[in-house]
Amino acid sequence: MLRPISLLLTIFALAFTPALAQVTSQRLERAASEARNWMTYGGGYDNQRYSGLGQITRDNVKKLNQVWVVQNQVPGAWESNPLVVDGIMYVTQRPNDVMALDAKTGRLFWIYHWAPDPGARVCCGSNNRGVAILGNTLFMGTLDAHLIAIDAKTGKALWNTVVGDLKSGYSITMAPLIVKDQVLVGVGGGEYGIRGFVAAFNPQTGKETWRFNVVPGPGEPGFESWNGDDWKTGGGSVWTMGSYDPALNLVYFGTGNPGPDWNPAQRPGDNLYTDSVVALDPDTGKLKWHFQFTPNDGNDYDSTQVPVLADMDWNDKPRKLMLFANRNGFFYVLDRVTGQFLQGTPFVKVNWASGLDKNGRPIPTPQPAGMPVWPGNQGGTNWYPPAYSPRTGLFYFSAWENYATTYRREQAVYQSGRLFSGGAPGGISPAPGAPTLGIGRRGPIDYWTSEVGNGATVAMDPHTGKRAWSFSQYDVTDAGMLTTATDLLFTGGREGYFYALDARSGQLLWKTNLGGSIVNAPITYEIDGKQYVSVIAGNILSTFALQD
Amino acid sequence: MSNEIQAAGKGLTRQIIWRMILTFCAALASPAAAQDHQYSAEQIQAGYRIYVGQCQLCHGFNGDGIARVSLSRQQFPRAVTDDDIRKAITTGNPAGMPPFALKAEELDGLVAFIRSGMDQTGTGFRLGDAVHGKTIYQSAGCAACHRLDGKGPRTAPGLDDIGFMRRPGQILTSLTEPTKGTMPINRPVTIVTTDGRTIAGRRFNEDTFSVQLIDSQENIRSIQKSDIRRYDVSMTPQMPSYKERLNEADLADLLAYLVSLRGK
Repeated sequence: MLRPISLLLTIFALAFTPALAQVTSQRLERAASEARNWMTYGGGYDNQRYSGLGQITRDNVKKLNQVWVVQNQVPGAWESNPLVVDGIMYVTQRPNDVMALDAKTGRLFWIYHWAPDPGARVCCGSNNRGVAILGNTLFMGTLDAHLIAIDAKTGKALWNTVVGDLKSGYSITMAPLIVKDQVLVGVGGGEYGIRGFVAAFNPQTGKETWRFNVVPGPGEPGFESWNGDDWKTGGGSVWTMGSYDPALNLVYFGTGNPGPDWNPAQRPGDNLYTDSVVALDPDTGKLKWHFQFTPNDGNDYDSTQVPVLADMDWNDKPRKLMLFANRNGFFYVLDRVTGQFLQGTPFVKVNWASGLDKNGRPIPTPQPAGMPVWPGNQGGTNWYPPAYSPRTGLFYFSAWENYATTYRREQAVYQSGRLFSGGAPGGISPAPGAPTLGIGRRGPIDYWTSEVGNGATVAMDPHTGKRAWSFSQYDVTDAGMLTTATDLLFTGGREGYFYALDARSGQLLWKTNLGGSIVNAPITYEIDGKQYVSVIAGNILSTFALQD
Repeated sequence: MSNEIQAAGKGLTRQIIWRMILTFCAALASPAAAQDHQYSAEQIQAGYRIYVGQCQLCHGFNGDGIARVSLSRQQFPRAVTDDDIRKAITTGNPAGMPPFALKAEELDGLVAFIRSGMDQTGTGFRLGDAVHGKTIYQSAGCAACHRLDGKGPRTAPGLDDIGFMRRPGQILTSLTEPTKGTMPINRPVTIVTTDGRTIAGRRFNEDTFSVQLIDSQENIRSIQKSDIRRYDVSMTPQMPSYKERLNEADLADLLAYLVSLRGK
């Protein structure tokens, strides 16, 4: 007689044991408050990369010790962003492998391998920035523009859907975004004359449920910002993580450059909705509002930074804001309910515009042919994810300073799947007449020195648009940010140093040389009462904790 | 004035005749070394446009998209001469490269772009006789500062693999406009440490916290910036300009020699 009851009790206990709980969409909506896990790309849908964990403090951070390392078996920049759910870490490696490992020890459970079609075209390397999780399923976009669902427990594929035509230059490098019961993902290919989009998929079947075309077609609003057939090859990729506000039911994505990249004269008009942030209804994909940072861009200023959502007082009234440090060199504060421009200030030297008007539209100052444009082609900042601390009220990101590029602009002829760039960057040039230099300095030796630019970790005060502090690095930096409830800021740079800074002052508290470039952001999580910090540097994924 | 010009002209004529004879002799001995090639900025830029449209799909942005081929570093499975490259493009190969029907001037452009090390800035250059260039290397005084084949000081950058590490256009700029052409890392530095020592040298590497260099006594050192009181980087290289010191033909010969230095 007792047996059925004990069985029921067992089932009940299993269902409510946190370690075995499924990752529901409700749980994802509260991801930021579940500090022991890192369940979405930015640690929560607001992408603040702010963790409530506080075991590691400004006082004890010097006692951080490396507890395990995983070595990547694949050459090339490792741009992945790990997730950690209930002690299991899920991370991708080039080109499209997914690994599940014990986040406490670094031991692997399984590797899922997808060999993308060799015909896949990507401008900037075989990058992948990670997976999303819903239920017991992981989702990964691939270089050949597939979306694959993978069983999180076994590493076996559940379904595989073609999202875009690889022969026309479509690819996926971003981690997908789960919103409610859908998987959202965007496409890369802004250098190949694609027509960019974000699409939503059913997580059980892989069937597409809606698609938002970044470049509008005939009859759609914004189409008037294009001339003739230019929209067909207008670019507007979406290649970094979006943000989601469940209360407003809005999802936000930054959008990429128009095509061809460097010849704006070939595509007159504002070229909506390239170089913008778009707010979409996640149930339908309908555009709710947009804000374009760089109309008719000629400098490859993709606006694919991760939109950071923050609530704070603005002019003494509580307001829902979006903070956005843009590749074009300006830092923006927008009202995320309406898209209204509230403030915009340059955070590095800018000479392509003399400033912004009252609506946030740039006042263009095109530079003469062959003259340097500030900021240079990689931007004042780029895709590496920023952080925001509600404790300090500061917004943290990596900036490239004293850095410019010269361009050659020419007519591009569209051929499907081929580069559609309209010229090329002529090299980095810090000043007219200075040496023309290449950008290829990912190796351990910095041949180009700080003459062509240097990196900085910037703490921006959103209220003033001015820096509260900055931490200068000799080489440029592609590192993202992580901040914590104990006012630590973890970041790194190309030189291979991994830093803990005081988030309030920028003071260097701790550093270690990991010997390889840090090209995404650290994450933090907790297992059995111990806080861990993980970061990818070069070809290693390294995890730290306090010495026992 | 006109007499001087005439005399100079006669001298030049004699020089050209001698050069033709020497070139002919050298050609018999070493066909590849004797080629005199002018690659103009226009050809390189035209070649770049053709490359983007026709070649980049397989060979990639940096020319290394096919295994065992680096177009930017002149690493080909078989081709040696410019004509070999033309032939490879027009006939294709069984490994999967299709034949390309290009006009003669388009082929010239592609060859120029490849020979330039895929230099998108399109710096024109002329490659002369590398054998004669080796004698220029000695007579012009290069060996007084640069190390090659295990001889010469280490304080200036060594040149054993200069033709592999830098593009012809970059080497030419270093010869004619050293201030512009010098790699920033090679600029002369002078450091005064907090304990009062002065260290002059050339950097290997630098980061936020330290600098690695070879000093004037050829010691290699890694110095923490926290130990530095004063740090000067000179924008004026010690290398003189050879723009006026060498005539155009000798410069082309020297460049051909330097381009041929591809390491051991």
